[in-house]
Amino acid sequence: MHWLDWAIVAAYLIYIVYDGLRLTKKSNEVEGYFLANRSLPWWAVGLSVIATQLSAITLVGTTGQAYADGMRFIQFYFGLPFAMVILCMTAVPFFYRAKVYTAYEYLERRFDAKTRALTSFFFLISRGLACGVIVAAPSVILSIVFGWNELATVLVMGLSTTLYTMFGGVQAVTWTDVKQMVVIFVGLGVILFVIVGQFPDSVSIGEAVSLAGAAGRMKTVDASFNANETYTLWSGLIGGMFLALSYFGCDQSQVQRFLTARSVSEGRTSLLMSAFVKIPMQVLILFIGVMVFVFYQFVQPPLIFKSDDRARVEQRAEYQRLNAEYAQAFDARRQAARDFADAADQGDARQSFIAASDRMNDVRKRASDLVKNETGKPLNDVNYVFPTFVTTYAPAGVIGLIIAAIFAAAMSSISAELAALSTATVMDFYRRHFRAEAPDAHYLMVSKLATGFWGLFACGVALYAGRLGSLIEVVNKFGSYFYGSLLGVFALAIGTRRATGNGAFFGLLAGMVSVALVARYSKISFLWYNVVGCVVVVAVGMLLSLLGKKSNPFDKGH
Amino acid sequence: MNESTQRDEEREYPHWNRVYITVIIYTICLIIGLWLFSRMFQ
Repeated sequence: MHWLDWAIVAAYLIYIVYDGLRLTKKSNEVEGYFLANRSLPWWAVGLSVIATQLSAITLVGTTGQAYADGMRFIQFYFGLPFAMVILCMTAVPFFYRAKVYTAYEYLERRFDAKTRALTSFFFLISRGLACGVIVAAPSVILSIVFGWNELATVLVMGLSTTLYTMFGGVQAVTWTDVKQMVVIFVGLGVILFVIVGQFPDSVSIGEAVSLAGAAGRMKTVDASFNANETYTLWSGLIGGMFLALSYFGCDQSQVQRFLTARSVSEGRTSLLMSAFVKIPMQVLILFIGVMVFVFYQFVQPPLIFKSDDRARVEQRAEYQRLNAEYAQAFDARRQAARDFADAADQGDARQSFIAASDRMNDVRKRASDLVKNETGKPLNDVNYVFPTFVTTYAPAGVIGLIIAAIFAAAMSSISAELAALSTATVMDFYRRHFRAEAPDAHYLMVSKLATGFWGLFACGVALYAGRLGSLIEVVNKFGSYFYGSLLGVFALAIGTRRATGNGAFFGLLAGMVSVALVARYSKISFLWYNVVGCVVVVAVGMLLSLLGKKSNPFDKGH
Repeated sequence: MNESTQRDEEREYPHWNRVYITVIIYTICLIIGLWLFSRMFQ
């Protein structure tokens, strides 16, 4: 890497840690440390909400997804604005006026201590492990693409974030998120400019989009009713809405964001900012991936992007034969792409281009099978497409900027998770069950220790997860079992006065078991898991609540 | 938060429903726009 790139990455890291640490003095009491004294403006909270959700793997994986599969992934976000409206009408005023530190604290007021403890415990387990995955995923990719030491990457990313979150609290999290969003947006804008600038002179943006469209990369809406298809209009609108309701309304890492706002109105406005910005921002990220796809119509892409998998097969005769065939297929497709871009009547040229693309895809599929036979695992190299393009074709300075943007995306998510994990640990367990009365300074010290503990825990999980890819899958699955069910508990809490603590507690367990069974024995898309979990919790919770009340005529309810 | 503060806050901006309807209309327009855009290039 050029010295300029190193300088940009170093400058970013030093500035962010300095910026976070200088807010330490504003976090000298528990409410300041966890809730910024409810003093933050809506635009800072809104950017923090977006930054928390945008992890490095979203940035890198989404561009790769668009390269491989086009823009269909955008449907995943279609339900988000509707969820934001529902949350602004319900969760924001409920949590804000309840003056709670955690979302789960509200459940104790509404139900009982065991429901609060169970939900908070599941949150700590799922998000603690997920935080490790958020550190691990970009570290693995950066170490493979750049040849960096994985341990060093994990420690630089994880420990620097832990340092400023530990001392600066949620003030540091929010204000560094704002700067990190600026780095991400600048990085995205510059890289789009770089990609388009490297197209052949004869190819305009309009022709590039036409090429992408002919290869099926511009399809954004699939209105078919197929529950097994992951990304459709309906899974996005319904499943995506339930997922967004669960994540933004029940996950402490997001709830804590709007609890820091100056008022209910500013909390609402901060969430509605995501409703306006999220879809266009994801369109931009996906469009960058599509433009990388168009770039590789004129420059031969690697047969396999993931270099460590490629290294395991490239000495084999079969791979070398496939590579030669791939080069020939690429030459034919490049010519077809040029003809398509130049053609006045695009009908025949379009068919030739599609046929040439199919030939290339066929060779790549055979190479994937070769890797699968060698490694025993299916080849999944979409996360390596964008970093490979950046390292190979971006000029000095831009590489550093993109690495800084990837770091920014990862660190903004990690810091919010750490702050949320620390808040839940201290407020839902330490203060609730171990030491109810203590000076503020004591809780502040314990909170900082808790943040430090979760930071080290995340780094430990990251190093382990890097070696065991399947752990990432397990963590993601556990999260998906939990989210919809948790939404069901909050629906019972906010939506009805008849639900009881036992109903919510056992409803939550029933919901999680149901989602696990659906995931095990059906092929429906994971976006529907949240709907299943939520519906089962509400149904079982209400049934148990009504039965419980019948058997206990003295239960006064809530 | 006491009731009078809550009332002050509600008075702060009384037209949230209009904002929510705007968000919903904006999102529907965005989805239709994306669909039309992708149809143009398929």
